[in-house]
This record gives sequence, C-alpha cells and structure tokens, in this order.
Amino acid sequence: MTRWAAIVSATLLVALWISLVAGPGDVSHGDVASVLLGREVTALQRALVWDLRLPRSLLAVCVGASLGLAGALTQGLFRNPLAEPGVLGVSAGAAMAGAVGLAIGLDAAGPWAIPGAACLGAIGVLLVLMAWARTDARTSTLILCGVALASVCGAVTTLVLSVGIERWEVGMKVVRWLMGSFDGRTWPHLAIGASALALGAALAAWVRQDLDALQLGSDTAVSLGVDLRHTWRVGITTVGLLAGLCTALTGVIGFVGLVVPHIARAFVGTGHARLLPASALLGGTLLLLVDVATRTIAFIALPPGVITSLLGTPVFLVVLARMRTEIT
Amino acid sequence: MTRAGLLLLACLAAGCPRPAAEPPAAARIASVTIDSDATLWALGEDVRGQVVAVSALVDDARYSPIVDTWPASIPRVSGSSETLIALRPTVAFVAEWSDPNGRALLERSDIDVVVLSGFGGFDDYRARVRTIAERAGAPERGRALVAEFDEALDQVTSSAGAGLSVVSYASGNVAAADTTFADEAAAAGLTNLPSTKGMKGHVQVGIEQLVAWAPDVLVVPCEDDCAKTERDFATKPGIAATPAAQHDRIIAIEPALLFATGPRMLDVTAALVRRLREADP
Repeated sequence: MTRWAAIVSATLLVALWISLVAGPGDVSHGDVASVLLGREVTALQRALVWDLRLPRSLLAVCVGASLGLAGALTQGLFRNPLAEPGVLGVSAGAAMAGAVGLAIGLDAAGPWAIPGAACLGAIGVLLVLMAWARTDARTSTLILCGVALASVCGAVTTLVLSVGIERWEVGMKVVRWLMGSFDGRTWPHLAIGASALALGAALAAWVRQDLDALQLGSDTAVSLGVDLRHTWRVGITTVGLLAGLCTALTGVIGFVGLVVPHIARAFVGTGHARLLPASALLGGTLLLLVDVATRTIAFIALPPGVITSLLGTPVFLVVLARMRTEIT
Repeated sequence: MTRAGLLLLACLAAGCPRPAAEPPAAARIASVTIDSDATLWALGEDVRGQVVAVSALVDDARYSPIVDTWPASIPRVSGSSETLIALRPTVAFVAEWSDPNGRALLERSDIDVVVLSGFGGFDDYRARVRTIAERAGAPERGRALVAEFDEALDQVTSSAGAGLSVVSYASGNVAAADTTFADEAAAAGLTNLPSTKGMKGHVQVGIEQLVAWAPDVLVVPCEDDCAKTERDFATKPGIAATPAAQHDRIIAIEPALLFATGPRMLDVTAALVRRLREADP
C-alpha cells in the first residue's frame, strides 16, 4: 500500500504541476513558481494560474476523489462490483434535480441552491433503491432497478430540456451543466467540493468496518454486531452527498466511481480501511489527468465526462465479462 | 373521321384562339423563422396579405424584432408539419436546422419549401432577403430593402474600434468568422480575435482561453440589467485581468440584439461604436 500510494501521490503532484503550466497563455514553470511563492508576475499570469488553473485543478482532484470514494462505498453497500452512483441512477437523479432547479431559476437563490437540489435528487434515488433492497436484495434486481430509475430521471431531464428549447438561454444553461465541465470553476466551487469530500470521507471512515462485515453477508454482519440500518443510512447519505455535489459542481461524470475502486482493489485488497482512501486518491489523480488532457489535447473545451465515459465503458464491459466467466 | 375531329384538325391548322392566360394565384406563405417573419413584414402590404402563418416566436421580445406587429389573426406556428399543412400554404420558409423529415412531409404535400440557410453575416442577410422577396413575388421590393440596409450600414460603419481586439462570449461560446458578430465588429473597426485564430462559427472556448487572448473589448449578453452584467463580468476571476475589464470595455448587449440576424445587426455595430467612443472619447 505504501509504495503504491507513494507512486499515485507522486503522479498526482506531477499532474497538478502540469495542470498549472499547461494551457493557453504565456505561463512558464518559473511563472507558476513565482505565483505560488507570491512573487511578482503580470496580472494576466496571476489570473491564469491563481484564479483559474489552481482552483480548477484542485476541484478536479476533489471531484475525482469524491467519485472514487462514492463508488467504493456503493460497491461495498450493495456488495456488487457493478454498482456505482452512475449505474444505480444516483447521478441521473442528481442531474434531474439540478436540471429542474436550473429550469425554474433556482440558481438565482444562491450558489448552494443547485448543489443542494442535486444532493436531494441523488438521495431520493438512493432511498428508492434502499426500499427496494429491503424486499429484494438480489444485486441484479437492484441494478435493474437503478437502470429503471436512471431512465425515469433521464426522461424528466429530457422533458425539462424540451420545455427549455422554447427558452434558448435556459436550454443552453441546462445542456451545458449536464455536459459537465471544470471550466470557470474557481475558489468558491472548490470550497464546496472540498467540504463535501471532507464530510464524505469522515462519514465513510465511520462505517468502514461495517462495510467489511457486510461483505460476508447481511446475516453474518448482523451477527457480528453491525447495525445494518445505521450503516445503510450513513452510507446512502454519504454517497448522495458526494455524487450529488459532484454532479452539481461539474455535471455528470460517469464511470470514475465504477472503474477506480476496481483498480484500487487490485493494489490494496478489499478491506475498506485501505480501499476507501486508495479509491479517493486514485480517483483524484485520474480525474486531474483527464482534465489536463481535455485542456491540452483539444482546442475546444471538452467535457471531462466524455473522456471518462470513453475510458470507462471498456472497463465496465471487462468487469461484466469477468463476472459472467465467474458465474459460468 | 367525325365532324368534331375534322373541326379540331382545321382549328389546329389555322391556329385556335387560346383562352386568356389566368393571372397567377396569390401565394399562401407560411413563415417558420423569425427572420422571414420580419422580412415578409418589411416587404410591404401586398406580401403581408399573402402570409397565412408566422413563427410562434414572432411576439417573443427576447428574440423577435417585430413584437406585436403581425395581426393576431395570423396563426402562429412552430415546427409541426401537421399544423402547417392544415393551413394549406403554397410556400413555406423554414430554417436549415428544421427537421428534414418534416420538410419532406411538406414537400410531399406540394408545398414549395424554401430552406433559409446561412445566418452568418451581412452577405447572408442580403441573400436571404433577395430569396424571400423573389419567392413572395416582390423582387423589386427585396432589392430596395437590401439597398436600405447598405445605406444604413454606411452610416454606422466606423473606425472607432481601430487597433482593438474583441471577443463576443455567450454561454461558453465565442463568435468567430462567418457569424453576424464578425461583420458587426468589423463594421465598428474592431478585430474579431477568434476569426484571426482561424475559427469559424460559434465555438466553445474555456474561460482560460478567453483570458489568455487578453481581448481589448469583451461583448457579453445581458438578461435584464446590462450595467450590472458588465460589472459582474468584469470582476469574474481571470476576466478582471484582461484589458477589456481594466479599461471598462466590457459591453453587455441584450440577446435579442446580439443574436439578431436582420437589420438590427447594425444596431449592435452602433452600440459598439457608441460604447467605444464613451470609453475613449
């Protein structure tokens, strides 16, 4: 774990430095160092590095870490390697609530309004799933239930968009938000993302041992003294908080929550005391790398969700194929 | 051969008197774009009398330059082919981004579908006016409208923005070459930065790129309070460091004007010139 964590941490730091240097504008390594050390630079260089790139990159790390953590938590709670906020419809629920909020002008109420709505949407979907799990806890059924919920949420989002077409600006606002982006995200956004990650990490740490016991089966977990209801409540709230706020801040970014815990598990094992921080670390690094790629490869501002989905889909199919092999 | 047959042959050989040519039936015109709504209105009384439908957004002040101009008795239509066909138009003006299946349906109903394309600047406007006027049977009036436009353009054209670069930034997109803004800016003497980078159309660009370009003038759309929009935009992280923000050259323009495709394009040029003179008399 230590060596693996050191490698990932080093990658994260290198990626962070690249993210500060790379991009449009005349900014050298020395300029970045000068900005960080508070030395004299031009107003434009300071704006590019301090006002735009640094908060954006740190937010990418926070969102990636939150999604990785949410994915590991969801897979632990549902005891299913295919579970993640996106697959279970949690992200779609957050997107739906956010889109509805934008369409009715909730964003004018303050910077927390849309993130708050998205959180409620995410938690709403998770509550339905939780209620379903009480009567039928088969993982395949839960995933199908999640797919159905995602479909409903997607339909409502499309409805909002179709109504939004009549009001071009609203439609554009919703579409741009749904596409997801780190562009223009600054310190206040980072404050929200970092707060959510800190709170989510603390809540996840609270139930990490319960999640380990849960992997042995619900009955065994109960016999080991786990309060299942408490674990579910804390876990679901944490996932809703993390996925909802991430979606609200940067739009739907799929597959990070699915892929990252699988990679982390291969290095640190299945124990949640190590898996949760490892997933957060790896998620943060991965999404920062994706953001650097979207900023430097293409001239236009590519949504990070496009890259994560392009990378994540093959991994998802590999996991599915492995599961099929294990079953047969 | 019967007597009638012989009579017909004789008639053909001698040259039968032909019935007098009927005057062409007046067209029944359906307009499904705001641009054609405005142009048809400007073409005058005769053309207006042929219009059987105008677009649903014609009275929406956010987009239309001719709110409450068309009589309420003229039906407002959106993109629904069924509604359009029911009005039995002979000519329909639709935009290039309209549903191709819907257009095919109109054509199968013997409607002359005129697809209006190219909303990219002054030349496109002139071409559209000529096309609409011709199909509405008023080519002379169309030419007169274009002449009026050119005359107004001469009046607003200025060198007020000479030596200054400009970017129009709306909903994350910049207006590059082949957009109305490119022509509007050029008429104000400004250099449209995205055009100089080889970009065309409305291109999505990140805030970071926008800041790195360091434009001298920034044009943004405003919803209600344009002065507040300018103040807010000037203090946005990153933007505050641009020459545009530092020299009070962030110019907010209402969307109906900024995205206009008709004669109101010249109002944008006029607004730019006015603001540039205010900022640097």
